This record gives sequence, structure tokens and C-alpha cells, in this order.
Amino acid sequence: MRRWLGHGRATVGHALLLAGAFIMLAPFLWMALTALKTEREIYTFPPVWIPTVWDWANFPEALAKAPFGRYFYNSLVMAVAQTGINVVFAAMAGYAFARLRFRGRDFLFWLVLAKMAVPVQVTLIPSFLVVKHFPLLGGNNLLGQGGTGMLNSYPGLIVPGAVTGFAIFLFRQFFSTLPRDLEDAARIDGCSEWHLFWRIMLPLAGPALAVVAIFTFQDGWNAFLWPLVITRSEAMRTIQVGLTVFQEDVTIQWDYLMAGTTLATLPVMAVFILFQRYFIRGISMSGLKG
Amino acid sequence: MFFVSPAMLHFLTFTTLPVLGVLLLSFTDYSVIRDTHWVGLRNYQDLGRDEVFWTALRNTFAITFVSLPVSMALALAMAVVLNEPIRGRVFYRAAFYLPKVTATIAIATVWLWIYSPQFGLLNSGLRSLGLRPVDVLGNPDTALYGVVAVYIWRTMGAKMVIFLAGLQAIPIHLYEAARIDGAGRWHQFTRITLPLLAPATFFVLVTGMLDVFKVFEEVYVMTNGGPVHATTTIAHQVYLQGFQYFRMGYAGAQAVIMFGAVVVLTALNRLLFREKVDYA
Repeated sequence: MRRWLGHGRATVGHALLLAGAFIMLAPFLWMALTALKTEREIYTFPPVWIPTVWDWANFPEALAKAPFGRYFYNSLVMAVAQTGINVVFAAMAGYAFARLRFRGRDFLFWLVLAKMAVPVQVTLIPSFLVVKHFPLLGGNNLLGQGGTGMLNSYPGLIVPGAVTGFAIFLFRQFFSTLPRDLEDAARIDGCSEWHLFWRIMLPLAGPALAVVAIFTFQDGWNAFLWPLVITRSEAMRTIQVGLTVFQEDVTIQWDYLMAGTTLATLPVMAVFILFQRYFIRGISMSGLKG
Repeated sequence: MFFVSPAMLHFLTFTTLPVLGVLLLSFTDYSVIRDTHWVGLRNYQDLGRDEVFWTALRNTFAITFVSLPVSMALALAMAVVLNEPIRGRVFYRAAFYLPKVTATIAIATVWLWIYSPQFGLLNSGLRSLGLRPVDVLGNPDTALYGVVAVYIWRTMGAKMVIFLAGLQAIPIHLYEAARIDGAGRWHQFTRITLPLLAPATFFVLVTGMLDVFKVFEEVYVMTNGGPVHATTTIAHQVYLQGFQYFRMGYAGAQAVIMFGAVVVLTALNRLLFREKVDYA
């Protein structure tokens, strides 16, 4: 009787989980399958899940309707560049917060934590103005007047979101767990601080580097509000902005839109599936990431 | 000091300066196009009379009060089930977390298609069951729920993973001792799991509340704030006023209110729960 009850509970649990997983995955399936249907099958009742004719031509046709290739490339540039910058600068800062003593350390670290809590919308407009009036760029003079600064450019897309509080926080957590003896030994051997960081500490930070790289790439690829406000020309749009522009057409062509949406989700999904353990590790390493 | 300077220089330029800047901006009528004047508190006075802004505030709080209890309860339930040695755990965990890694714009686009009044998946399903189709996003009474549902769906998995990490930190021997004392499963849940999960719960609650202030992409894609402002949020208003109407001073005042709400919320949390909670 007891065993039977236990068994029943497990079955109910499994049924609930399966239902839950279906609710989570169905929209993604519906997206990918819509992208592969002919127009006739999209507008039929009752709906067809599996296309009878696999219309792969939707993808090249969508790419011809809007410059998704260009959008894709811009997003890639933005995400990769932000990842490179964040990994280096946040690691340096996280290392210093964990291992070095300097004036104002606690206050600066408090600033890092505070930055994480401030919603992007709060700083959106002033950040836009900083980028627009950045001195000596985009035709601006020394006082930041006369030109467009970094608006509608790669530096403008990349730089403002390139160093994150989360990454610094994560690196600090990681570097505080390394044994002290290591650096003492290196210092006794006459190793410079700079050398110590690059040659000894950073190579040990592999797991933290991987977590930060993955999260930063994901954030860069998925970014929307910032690229939306600072890009003007079609040639500078990122894939997420491009997706919303494509919807502004009078009649939405769902097969093409879903093809574009599939393309917009694929890289990050691939990263997630390949490096899943790093996502979970990132959350347990920091004990957070909401 | 040298090690932190690049990152701190970046923070100074793109966070500290903008936070101070938005305060200044909110006392002006800056608009990119026309000359700028110092207007004192006029933006704030206008905000007080702005029906749409009040609607946006109400909507933001409504999203908080509806979505947080539901998504936290679902996330906790899923975490408890997945904490057991169940077959396919890794698969389920990944499936629930997937919306968190996917671009919100893409998610909102897919849901727009699902909600589509004529051939969307939702209405096809309703019609198959013999029910009348509904235009969830086109009806001012239901549009906000349509947005909230997507928001819950999108944020549940991330909450679940935090609960799961919290559950795994609870020592097994507590449950063993409770079982020996004859405590049932429900008793174990309410007397051990829930109290010991409190830090994780507070963390999910606080980050969840802060996250609602950022709700923008679903609204932008699915409803653009409509119909008749039924789904507009503070974040959406800041964007609209600042970058559609170019009333940047006015949008700045809205951003300051938003910042104030975040500060109050964080301080309140510090006062009420002296638990060690980190924000991200």
C-alpha cells in the first residue's frame, strides 16, 4: 500500500513536470514549426503542428525581405566585443576587490552592488546624451558639440553596456576563494602585481571566465532597448531591433517573422545547450542572478 | 587601484554621471530639438496630473502583485519536485530555464502570434474545445493579463533555479531527524523547508520586485501600451516620452520617480529583513 502510494506520487509528479515542460517548450516549437510551414497551413483550422510540406524556403525568403544577415552580424559584433571587454576589465576589478587593499575599496564595491539594482531605464536618457556628446567622436569637438558622437556606431552599441556589476561581483566571489599562499609565494619570488594577475590568477579563473563570458554574450545578443534608441540606420540595427521593425509592416507575414525570430534565438539557445553546466554554476557561484 | 580604474571609469561615465544627470535633467525641458530652460518642479507637477503616468504606475504595481505570487508559488513547486532524484531532471531544469536565456523580444513576438485573434494557437485551441475565440491583447480588460501571463512564463524558470539552489543547501539530516520523529511530508515542508528557504525566498522576492520595473519589451512588441494605455508601464512611459515625443526632461522626471521607488524598496528590504541578500 505504502509503496503503491509512493509510486502514485511519483507518477503525478512526472505528469505535472511533463505538462510544465510542454507549456515551457510549446511556444518555441510553435515558433520553429510556423517558420517551416507554407502560408496555407499557417492559416488553417484546426491548426496543424507538423507541416505536411516542409517549407525551408521561408528562411532565404525572410532574409531577402529584410537584411536579417546584417542584423545578425551587428548583434554578433556587439555581443562578442562586450564579452571581450567585460571578461578583462571585470576580472581585473573583481581581483582587486577580492585581493588588494586600496583607498575607497569598500565604497567602490558598494557602487558595484548599487549599479546592479538600478534599472536601465533610469540611466537611459543621460547615457544617450553622454554617447551623443562624447568628445572628439562622430564630428564632435572637445566639448562634445557639433556632431553625433557615438550614436549609430559600433562603439556606441558596445561600450555603455560593456562592463557589468554582475561580472565584477562574480569575479570577486571567485578570487576570494583562492588560497593566499599562492600569491605570497609569487610575491616572495619577486613577481610584480601585474604579472601575478595575468600569469597566475587569471589562468586559475577559468570557470569564472566561462560564466561571465556566457552571460555577457547572452546579454549582448538579447539587448534591445539600448540598440533601439541609439541606432538610426538600417545598417546598424541589431537582430532584436530588426525583428520589431519587421513587424511594423502593415500585414505581418508570420512565416517570415517566425523564421527571423528563430534565427534571433538560435545562437543563444545553442550556447545554453552546449554550456548548460556553466549557467547553473554561475547561479550557484553568485547565489543569485534573478 | 590601477586594476579597478578601467571598470570604475566606465561606471562613472555610464552609471554615476547618468544618475546625477537624470536628476538635473528632470528640472529642465530638454528636448534635443528646442532650446533648454530650467523649469524647476514643473515636470513633477505635470506628472501628478498626468493620467497616463498614473495608469502606468498602477499597471506596474498590478503586474507585481499578480505575477510575483503566482510565479513564486509555481517556481517553488517545480523546485521541490525537481529536488527529488527524478529521471530527466537535467532536461526539465533546462526546459524551465530556457525562456530566461532567450531574448524577450523574440519571446514576445512568438506570444503575439500565439495570441493572434484569428489563427493564433490560443484561439485555435479554444475553438477546438467549442469555446468562443478571444482577443486577449485587443481588449482593455484582458490585455494586462495577457502581458502578465507571458511575464510569469518568462521569469518562472530563473526563480525556480534559485529555489533549487536554496533547497540543495538544506542539510538532509534535518529531514531524517524529522522522519524519525514521525513528521509527515507536509509537516517537513512547512517546518523545515519553508523556514530554511527564507533567504532564497527573500532574494527571489526582492529581485523580482526590482525586475518588474524593467518590464518593457513585452509591452513594446505585443501592445505598445494599449489598448487605451491598459498595458503601459513606467519603463514604457520613459521610453515613449523620451524617445518618441522627445520630452526628455519630462521622461527624466519619470525616471527619477522610478529610481526613488527602487531606492525605497531596497531600503525597506534592508530594514525589514536583515538577512544577507545580494542583488543582481
